[in-house]
Amino acid sequence: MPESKTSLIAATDLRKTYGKKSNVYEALRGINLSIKPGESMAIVGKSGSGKSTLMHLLAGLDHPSSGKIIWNGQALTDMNEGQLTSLRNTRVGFIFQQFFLQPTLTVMENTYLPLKIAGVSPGKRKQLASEALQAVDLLDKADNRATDLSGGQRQRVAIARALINKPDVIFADEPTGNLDSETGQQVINLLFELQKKHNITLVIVTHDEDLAKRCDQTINIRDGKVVK
Amino acid sequence: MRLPDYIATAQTNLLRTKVRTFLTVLAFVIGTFTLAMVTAFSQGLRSYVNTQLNAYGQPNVIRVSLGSTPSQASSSGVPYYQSNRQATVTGGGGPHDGKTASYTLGQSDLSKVKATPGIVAAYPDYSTLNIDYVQYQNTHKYVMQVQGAYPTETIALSAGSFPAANQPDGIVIPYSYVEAFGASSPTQLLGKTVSIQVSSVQPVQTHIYTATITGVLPDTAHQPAAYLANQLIARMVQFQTGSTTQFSGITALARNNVAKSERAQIKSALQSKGYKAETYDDLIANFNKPLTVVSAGLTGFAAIALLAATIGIVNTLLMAVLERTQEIGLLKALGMRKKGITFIYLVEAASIGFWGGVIGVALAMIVGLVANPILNRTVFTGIGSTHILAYPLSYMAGIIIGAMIIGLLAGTLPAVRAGRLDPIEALRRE
Ligand SMILES: Nc1ncnc2c1ncn2[C@@H]1O[C@H](COP(=O)(O)OP(=O)(O)O)[C@@H](O)[C@H]1O
Ligand SMILES: [Mg+2]
Repeated sequence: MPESKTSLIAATDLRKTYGKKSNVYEALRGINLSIKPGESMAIVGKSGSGKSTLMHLLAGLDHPSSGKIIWNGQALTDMNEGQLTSLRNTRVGFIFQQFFLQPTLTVMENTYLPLKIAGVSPGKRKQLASEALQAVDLLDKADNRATDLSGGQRQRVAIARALINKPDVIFADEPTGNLDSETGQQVINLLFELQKKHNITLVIVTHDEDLAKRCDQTINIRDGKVVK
Repeated sequence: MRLPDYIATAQTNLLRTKVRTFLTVLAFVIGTFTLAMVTAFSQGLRSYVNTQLNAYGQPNVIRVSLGSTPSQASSSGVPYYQSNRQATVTGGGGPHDGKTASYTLGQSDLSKVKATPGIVAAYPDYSTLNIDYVQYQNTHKYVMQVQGAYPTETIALSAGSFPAANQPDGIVIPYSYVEAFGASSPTQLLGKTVSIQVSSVQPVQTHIYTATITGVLPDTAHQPAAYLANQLIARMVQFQTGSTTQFSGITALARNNVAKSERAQIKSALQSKGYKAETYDDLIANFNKPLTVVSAGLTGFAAIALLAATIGIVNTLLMAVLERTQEIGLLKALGMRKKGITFIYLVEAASIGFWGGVIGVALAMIVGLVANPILNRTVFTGIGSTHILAYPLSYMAGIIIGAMIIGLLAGTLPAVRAGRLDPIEALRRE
């Protein structure tokens, strides 16, 4: 059993079913896991095995059908919409395979989006965004449109955006999925470097075995269950 | 997010699909422009009518004529004959040459009207007096309508004043006579005298009176009759009809600044005594009634245009929500609450209304800027610088705010739908 006292995130018997009645599909069938603060964890498995579903549940983006998730001693399942969104806004960073940068905004504006949502003053958020962009070495592109950038650069902006609220945990869903292997390697190196530097907990969904080996812990999922 | 962020986000979003936004705003512009024009026209016309009316009647003046007593009331509305009250044939030389009957009032009526509560003074109405001509120095002889001037006349004159008590031969001439008399300005005529010829039939004779110009009426499109000092007009009537004890109407005066409700009370008091009373309110109502009907009709058209614009907003925003599903999902993932997302789209909807309102009102004001001088030169001449198209700021602001509210209402459905989007569904979409 995961030890909830020393873990940042602990999940017990997580289940998630989609659809109703004749159409029911069990995406997750009883997952148990525990992540310690500052640790990195890889969730690996084939496409459709339930990796993203699990990540969404751990990040408070979706509700499990049954089971429990404890964040720092507090149950996510007991939180209301306001508490969950506030948790994601202040304590979580997200990195997606498709980057999800806003085409209408500049690199700088994309970077400080979480702070803008939080209602941080324009001066403060610009300053923090500059620091974050500096960290991913993209400060010179701050005023460019996100659409002007290459894939690798876009994912680095996404990393800056994930870092800006100084999160406890960064969730990355196949962050290298849309990048060639060399660029992917650079992005991952940067991600690990920043994770170590700021002592951030990192959860990476991937089907890259080499990437998984670099993590402190690996969870292998098949058909919604953890396999050894 | 902070309010400025919401507003900025909404504007950025609107600029993403420029053509679509333009068309949606255009639909609003049609409605708000129509509304602004209708308002401008009815407001302008109302103030035009009011200035015109002010040259005729003052709020404290009540025109009294012979009406029917309650005992004469019939179900058809046409009063029954009563021998002691009705038509007396006016004496020879009267305004109708003694051939037609006219309802006549006498001294006893004057005292009765004076005794009515709320009435401070009453004078015989001598406007049935017909003069032959008026002449200034050696200019042409001109026809002129005349009426008596009462001590409390408060019309704002373009020059001079009404005859004072020590000016028993005073006259206030209508504005158009300034040019007729060959003068270059109204003030030039003040203190000058004019000759007025009056004739009587029995016996046939004429007499020329001298009147001193004490004032000139304002420049209104329709010129009212000239005002003669009461003593002067009484002398003329005495000459023309041989009597000043019979007259067709009485001009009664209430105190200055008399309230509307008081006027109504005086009116009903006079009616119960068997008189017909026409107050300032009747005058205004007669002119404003058709105006109100027409502007209500046009406002209806504007409302239909705005309704169409509403459908445009709903459509535009539903499409926008659909297109931006992924973006909405991202905002939710990054910590924006349902109501924040809803608010973004409400602000966007209100912005469409705002721009539609601002552009519509601005266009209407430009039309006014161009059309007012042209209207004053062609259709509505002789009203000086009064503008037919008026744009009261409060009304124009009201139209813009109204358009924003309509936008908000229309945006509710798409905005709530955006707020309810499941972030997972939104992010899974490729
Ligand atoms: N909204 C949904 N309705 C029904 N099935 C779903 C839904 N979302 C995901 N699934 C299914 O759940 C399974 C796990 O999906 P996912 O977690 O995205 O897998 P992975 O990320 O490992 O590729 C898949 O078979 C997918 O088709
Ligand atoms: Mg996935």
